[in-house]
Amino acid sequence: MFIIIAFGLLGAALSYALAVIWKLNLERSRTTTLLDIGLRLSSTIKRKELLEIIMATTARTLRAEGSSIILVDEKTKELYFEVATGEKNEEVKQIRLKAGEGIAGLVASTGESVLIADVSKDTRWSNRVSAKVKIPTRNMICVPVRSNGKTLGVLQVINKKGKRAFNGQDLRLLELISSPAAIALENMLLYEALLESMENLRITTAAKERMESEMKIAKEIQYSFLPGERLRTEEIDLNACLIPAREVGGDFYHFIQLDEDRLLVCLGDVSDKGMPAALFMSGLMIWIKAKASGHHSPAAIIGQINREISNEDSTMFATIFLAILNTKTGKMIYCDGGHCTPYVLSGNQISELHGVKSLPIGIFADTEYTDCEIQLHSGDSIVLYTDGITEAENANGEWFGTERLRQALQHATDKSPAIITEILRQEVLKFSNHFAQSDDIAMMAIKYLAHNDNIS
Amino acid sequence: MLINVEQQNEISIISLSGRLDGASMGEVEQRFLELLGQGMKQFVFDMNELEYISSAGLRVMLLAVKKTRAIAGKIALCNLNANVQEVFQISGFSTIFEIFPEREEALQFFRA
Repeated sequence: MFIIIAFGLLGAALSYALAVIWKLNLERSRTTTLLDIGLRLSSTIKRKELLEIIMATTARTLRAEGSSIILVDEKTKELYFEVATGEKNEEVKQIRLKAGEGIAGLVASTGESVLIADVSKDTRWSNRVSAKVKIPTRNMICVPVRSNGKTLGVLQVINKKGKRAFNGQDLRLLELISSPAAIALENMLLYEALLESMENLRITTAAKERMESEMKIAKEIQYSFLPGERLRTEEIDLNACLIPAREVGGDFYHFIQLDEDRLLVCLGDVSDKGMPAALFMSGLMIWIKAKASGHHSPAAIIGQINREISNEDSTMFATIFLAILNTKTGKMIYCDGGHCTPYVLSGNQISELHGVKSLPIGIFADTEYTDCEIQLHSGDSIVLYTDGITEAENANGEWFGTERLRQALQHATDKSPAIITEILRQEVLKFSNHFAQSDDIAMMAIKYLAHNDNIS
Repeated sequence: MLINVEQQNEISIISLSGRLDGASMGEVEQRFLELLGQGMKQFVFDMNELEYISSAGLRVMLLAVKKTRAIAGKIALCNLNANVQEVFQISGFSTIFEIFPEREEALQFFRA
């Protein structure tokens, strides 16, 4: 009797021990499985591969006929199938679900797992997906895939292989798989975001480079309209420069030797910046050249150009100072179309070149322009500039202003045009102290060298 | 740029303050065109608070002149500070605007 009891107890102890060992083994095998899954999921960050690995691993681990990973579209909040394992692979690729639609939608929006042991008895089941996939669904589990509090999607298994349905243990297992899956997906999304921003950067850079190369060509074209920066004859020393705020700009200057005795100089400013101004300026340069031939006076030339470019609907205009200097006599006839008042440097004196102020060109076709006259003496200089100099700004919001311009010129009355323009350039640079140049700058200094004392 | 519009009888008084330049010209243009669209024909620009006008700013003023002329309306400026006055003087724009020292005189101009 005792023996039987002893055997019974031993048997019970043994079977308990076996049960414990079996359970331990199960735990160990589960841990091993999960570790294996974790390793496998972290083996790639490429979308197609990763999704396939997640699904294949999930289906195998849960002994499911099919599995799918359904992702949340960040922008539309819709759910979409990327791929699905199983024979019907292709058919699930395109399916998108509205936020909250179907079991997957429910799980994604509530963050709660769903186990349906028998879909025929469950009202939550939507036929839409299974009808499309054409896999008759008997039972299924759907769990959220969450990372850092954000639902990235849902992981779903359909139809347990064999006769039994999915149970609570399967649900827990699937939940365990969803954690490493979430980390792997998060990494994949980060990687894709990185790729996308790199691609954007590449496109932007390419567009910028194309733009820059076009702007560079535009700049070359614009400069090709200019006559150069320097003119030196027996009677004249002239130096000009153009510093656009952007690649191209609306300031312009011109000098043309009309014949042996006459030099035309002009300088102006289109009322805009960048490309529109540059196009307008290019047109002006051609008009100046075209109208300068012949024996017209500055006012007549400006008047003609004004008629050509004035347009009722346009508000584009240009200030212009245009003069014709008789290099033999030193007599200079000029016309001021609303431009910054030039300076005359004579001896150690500087003075403003006053005259009749007319409207800029391009405003009204019928504007009248008036010629004025000044007699230059040997050694006198005329300095033309645009408001890019006087309105050059520094970081304190101060302007260079006419007073600084006068002072700079005061110290340069005896200097050559090349030095005068360089001094002005340096002074403006020093003043603005790397504060971004907001307006185009053009300047020109003309020194009259001929001895004409007998004439005047 | 701050733009304030008041109506006095048939006259729209547009007060500008701050800087009228490339950055703010669009705003002024839009307000002006709105008034024009409402059938306004008489405009006073009160520049009392206007610190600065650039050549881009002048373009808006030019637009105002052109549009007002096209509908046979009238336009006047008043209260220009020395800076702004100088820009109008140098650019020759003072020849296409009626410019008055005070608002009252500008309004008088419309009554005449």
